[in-house]
Amino acid sequence: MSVPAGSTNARPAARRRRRRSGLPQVPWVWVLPALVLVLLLRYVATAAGGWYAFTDWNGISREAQFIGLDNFREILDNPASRGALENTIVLAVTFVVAANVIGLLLALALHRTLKTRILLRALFFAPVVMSSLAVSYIWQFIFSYTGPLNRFLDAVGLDSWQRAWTGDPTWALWTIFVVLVWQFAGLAMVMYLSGLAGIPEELDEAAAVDGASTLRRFRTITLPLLAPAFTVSVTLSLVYGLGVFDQVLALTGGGPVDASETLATQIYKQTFAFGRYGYGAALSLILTVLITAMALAQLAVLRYRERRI
Amino acid sequence: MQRDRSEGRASRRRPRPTALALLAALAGALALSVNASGAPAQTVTLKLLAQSTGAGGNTQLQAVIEKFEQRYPNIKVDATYLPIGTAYAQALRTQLQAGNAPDVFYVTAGSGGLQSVLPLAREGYVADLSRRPWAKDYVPENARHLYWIGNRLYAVPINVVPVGVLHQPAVLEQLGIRVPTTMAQFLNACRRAVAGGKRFLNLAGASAQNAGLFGVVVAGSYVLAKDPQWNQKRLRNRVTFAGTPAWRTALQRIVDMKNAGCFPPGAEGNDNVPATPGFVSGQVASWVLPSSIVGLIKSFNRNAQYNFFAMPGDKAADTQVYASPNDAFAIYSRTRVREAANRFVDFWATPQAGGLYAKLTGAASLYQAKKGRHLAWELRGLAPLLKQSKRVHPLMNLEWRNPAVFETLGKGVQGLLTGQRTPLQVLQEMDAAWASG
Amino acid sequence: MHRYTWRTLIRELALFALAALWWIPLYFLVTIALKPDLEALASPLSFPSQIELGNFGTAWTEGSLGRALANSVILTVGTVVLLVALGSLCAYTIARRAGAMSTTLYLLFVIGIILPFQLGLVPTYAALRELGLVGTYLGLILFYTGVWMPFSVFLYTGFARALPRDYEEAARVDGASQLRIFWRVVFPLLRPVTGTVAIFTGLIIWNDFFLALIFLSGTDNTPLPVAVYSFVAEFASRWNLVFAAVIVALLPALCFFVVAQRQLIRGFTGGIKT
Repeated sequence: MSVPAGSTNARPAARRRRRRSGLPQVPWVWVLPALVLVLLLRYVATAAGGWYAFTDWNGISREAQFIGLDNFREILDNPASRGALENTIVLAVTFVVAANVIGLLLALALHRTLKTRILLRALFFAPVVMSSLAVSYIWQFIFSYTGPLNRFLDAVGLDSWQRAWTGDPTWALWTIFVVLVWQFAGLAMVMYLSGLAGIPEELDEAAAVDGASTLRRFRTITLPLLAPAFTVSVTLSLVYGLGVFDQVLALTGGGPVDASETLATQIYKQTFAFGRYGYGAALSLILTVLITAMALAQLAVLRYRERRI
Repeated sequence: MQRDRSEGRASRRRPRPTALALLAALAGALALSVNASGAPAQTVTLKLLAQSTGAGGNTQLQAVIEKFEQRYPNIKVDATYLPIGTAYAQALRTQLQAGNAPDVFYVTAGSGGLQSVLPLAREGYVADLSRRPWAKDYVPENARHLYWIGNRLYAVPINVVPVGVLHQPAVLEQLGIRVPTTMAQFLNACRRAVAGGKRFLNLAGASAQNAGLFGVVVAGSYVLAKDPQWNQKRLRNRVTFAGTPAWRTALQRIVDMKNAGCFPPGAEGNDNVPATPGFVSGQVASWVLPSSIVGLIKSFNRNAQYNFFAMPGDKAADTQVYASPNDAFAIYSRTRVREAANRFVDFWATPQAGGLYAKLTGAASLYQAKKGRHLAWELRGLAPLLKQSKRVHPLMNLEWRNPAVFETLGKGVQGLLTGQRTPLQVLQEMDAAWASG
Repeated sequence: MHRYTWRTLIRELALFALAALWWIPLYFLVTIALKPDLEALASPLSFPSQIELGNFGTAWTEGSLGRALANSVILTVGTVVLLVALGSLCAYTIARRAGAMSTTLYLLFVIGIILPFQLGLVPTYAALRELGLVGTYLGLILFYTGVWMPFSVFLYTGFARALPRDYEEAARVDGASQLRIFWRVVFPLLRPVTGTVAIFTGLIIWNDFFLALIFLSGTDNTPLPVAVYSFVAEFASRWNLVFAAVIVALLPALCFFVVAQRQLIRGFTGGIKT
């Protein structure tokens, strides 16, 4: 694919075409820098990563042994890696639902009429621009045993609910969920707001005049017309949720005993802390397939429904 | 494609023929003789990579390096300090592989950590120091195998770090607790502390480092008390973690501690930052820590007095103590300034350098440890035990086969606290980690 | 039609309550960062009895945050410049040429958007290490550029295709060279996309932790998130210092948000909607 672009000599080609029209053709060479970067860093690297996934390369040795499916077998046997796979899916799916529901509700509430809607939108959107690693430390404090959350529970008489949230096998994963939703809901809101802005007001008014209830108007007019915003917001949050890393490392480190490991943290630990490059590549392959498959499946479903409407 | 390139690169990096090495050695010797004759020598820069100990690099190390630079005015040390843990290990490995490694770098003893010296030595990255004048008897006998492979020595240890239970004697007194000498007393102390509205033993359960250290410390007075050679047998695969009753007892004692209310609530979820306030404020009476961290702990509260005691076994006679020549410096095998690097490691082997560093960090120098004298004030509680060489060991995990074993223990201890793991499960996972790396 | 009734008022107040809840973490962040050591230890939740600005100085020096801030700027600006310059040039070519070649190239970039970067990570790391580029600005800037280039080309192509050719032809008549025409005539017309590309990718790269941790940790070139991570990992850290460092890390992006709020939100939705 790169051969014609790479081998085209721009000058004669341009001269030839200049004869045909007043405006000379833009030279293909201009494509090259971007193309080479993308070919090497996206395509070649991804293909090479696919190869490493079937080897036992340790990052230092000169030889990488082809070991077939051994890495993938180990992922299924290794509780930390298998748990990471399950956690990633559970976290991503619940996060997508929660962030989009909250985002949509915020968007509907802030769409019109409110006097301070611009300010309120900004307040909810602000977490989006913050470093997710840095904000996770605030949440680590909130969830710590002597932190605000437990003190609040104590104050309202729910002291039996107190626990070390980030050190609790069942709850550690959900502390990450909270931070994800808190940070992402504002972005979903903005996307739904821009979807709502595209819905002609007259349509809604006409329906209201016809005596349709608010709920009915929402279901038959607003929701269908929001479909494109849905597609974008859900896809984006899904990709984001499947790759979650910063929040895990800052909040729980993947613990307690791997209870909140995700694929991205496992990739990082196996590859760069334990020097198991081949195994890390196998985990990356799984994550890649997961992201691609889920994103495409979802796009297909949502686009289909968009079209039907 | 990547592999081809790396192979080509590797062959280019392969060591030159021995004739060149001889020539280099000759040149080095020549340079030495020039220096010895007092002729003004050119200034040499020695690149050094070491771990930072927290606030602003590594002031303790820097103090010793300044002394070195005063002694050798024509050697300038260009030091870089990186945070402890994966950041340091990763940077070091990267630089070694890329061929632009520092001339001298910090390593740890044995093979059980990310920056352990022996795996690096086996890859050919580390220079042999066995010809240095101090080499023969500098490394204590019980730690010889952590630094030597055959008749080659790969690093110079810079201190001996005793590990124990750090506490404020005033807090114990206030609670009416005497330093426990058996596990039964220890568990009683925990109950007493709870009755007094405090807790006895602190733990950063979410830090695999701290939880792993705690696990190894408890295991010492069980496993090594029964069989001082246990590690050697594990290395030869004659024993396993799960198959050793003393290991199961040791981890069961951690569960007993949890049941006796030893740990502050939430200990399992705490990393170092959230774990520190409770201990520093005296709300939690003690904490298993290496003595090298005492200087830092004291900086939080200048008025507090500290002491160590050894983690007891079931019987007082079982109690063992760890004192490891843990931290060390190694020379890059392809350094261009070998002579200056030699001077640097030689300097560390002097009582002055070791003594100064020990004083600054709260650890002991190799000479102090050997004689059991001039120890730091905080180590007074460990001094009687440190004199009984049979009960002193280097940290067990230093010679484990790969870093994952210790990491698994650290996570396992957290799992014991949360109830996710039984002692046997933790030990089985440690055996599995041993086999995998 | 949309009258402001008492129910609207209740809605407005409820949303303010929710926004306050949303901002509670930031309240803790600021109050604790301003507390002296002992107060942060003893009563973390109260309002600070005295303002301790020294925490910021300590965090700034001990966490080397000044250097990290500069690193963040270099990495972000370097990548965004490459994405804008190379991306617009490439996209303009694709948009102005017709035929199978153009379509193929366009598809290549579009697929590149969907393709996750994680699988290419290990080989890229290994290759950049061989080239001595791990730990350098250039290595990471190249990787970021590779990851986000498909996105940039995609946005620019869509916009450039809709551009009328009249301006270019007029400039051609004036005898300007092709590169000059692009730079002087076309590029300014592409400004809306440039804004979207710069804001969207700039913010993502500014806040990136994962790739920066892998490529730069252990060097002096680490950006703010990695510097904060290293600072917290050090034993001597306390909440008040950690939070002071966190504030330093968050402030630039927040300031940018306050100043350029509308453009930023538009840039974000513009980037996502297409």
